[in-house]
Amino acid sequence: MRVGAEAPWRITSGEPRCVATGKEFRLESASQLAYLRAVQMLAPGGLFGTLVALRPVRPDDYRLLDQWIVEASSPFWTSLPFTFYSYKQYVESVASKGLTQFASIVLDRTSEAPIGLIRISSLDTGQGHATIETFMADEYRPKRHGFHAFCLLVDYLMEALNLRKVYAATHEGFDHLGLGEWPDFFQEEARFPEHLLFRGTLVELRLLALYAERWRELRKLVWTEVQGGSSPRDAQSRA
Amino acid sequence: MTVSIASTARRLVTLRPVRQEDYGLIFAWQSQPDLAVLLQTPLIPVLHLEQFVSQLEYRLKDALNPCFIVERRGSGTVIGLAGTDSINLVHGHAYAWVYLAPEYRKSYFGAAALVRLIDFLFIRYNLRKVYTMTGETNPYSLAPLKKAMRLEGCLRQHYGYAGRYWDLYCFALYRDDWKRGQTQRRWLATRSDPR
Repeated sequence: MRVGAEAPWRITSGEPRCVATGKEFRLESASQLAYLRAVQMLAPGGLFGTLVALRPVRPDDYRLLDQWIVEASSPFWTSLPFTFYSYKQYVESVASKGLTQFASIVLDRTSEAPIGLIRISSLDTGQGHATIETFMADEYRPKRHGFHAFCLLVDYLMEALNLRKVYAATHEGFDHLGLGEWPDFFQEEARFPEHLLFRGTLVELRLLALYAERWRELRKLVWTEVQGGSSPRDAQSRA
Repeated sequence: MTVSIASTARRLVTLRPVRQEDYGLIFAWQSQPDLAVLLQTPLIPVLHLEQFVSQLEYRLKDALNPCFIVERRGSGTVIGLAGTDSINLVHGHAYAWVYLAPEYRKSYFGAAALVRLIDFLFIRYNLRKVYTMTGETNPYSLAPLKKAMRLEGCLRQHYGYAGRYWDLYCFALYRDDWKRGQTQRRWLATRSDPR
């Protein structure tokens, strides 16, 4: 995991400001500031793997997001706003909710082009869990990019925010994670039939759970593929 | 003869909008030590009354997620609070919840309030499906909900309370089931009528 210079939220001497929207985030309490500082660490400038990198959503992404939303090739988009302007409002509303949600753009490391969006909803640092939703552009869906993006984010959540459980929300028939090689990666904990209406069909939402203990077992297997080498933590433990 | 659960619920409780004079009572409920057990989270902030009122009024402005006072029919006694979160009109589902004052929890009133709320949601918002969740630390609603609704998920060790982690159960009720009366009959069998 490499930490870049640019943070999605800057806390300087004045009020913190959202880089994406330029809007000030008004703090109401000291604990909110502490919370914001904690969440600011969520992808501070980006997480980098061999295939993909994650970086915060920026205004110049709105056009592409708008295109993905309009094409709506996956039920993932049905839970997000419909248009460019509403996506902007969405980003602003995320700020007003105290950042329990967070979205990152997934970049292809080869072309540096945006190829997907990975979103954290209902981040609960107190109870130690979060839900991750992943969207990958059609041409990247059969590949490993979604899985790599997911692993980068999970590793960050488990290691930096000390979460004990991460949920992955997936839709029936739309495997953005490409989990073929790791069928026992998750435990399925909930199935909500007829949850979403997508292209005239009712689609099932599945909630899969990954526990911190399981992640630490699997991490040794997947980290070389995702990160192209040992992680700083593994190197530290060997030392 | 099959008795409609909706009509039974109507005889027991009424749902009405929250008024300013209810704020004190809701604040007292919010300060109950066992609230964490019922709402599956111990992380409810301790607020001053002014902060609480400010947050409550912000919540009440959310017209798409109504919040109701539960009144006992006849006497007009305020016995609880019921509402929804995350109504999704595009996909036709919502999450419903009910909170009851401690002295009314072991009776039929909780089920009656939930029935009235669900009836309202299916009619007014034309929803297809209503979810509700409860934790294994909530002894009042877990057993009846297991009988009356479909269990669609069990999120293991989802929330922490009193030194350990507990499971959270997700239940769903479909409009078609509701209309057919299957759920209503099961619901009637869950608890005895207090009258």
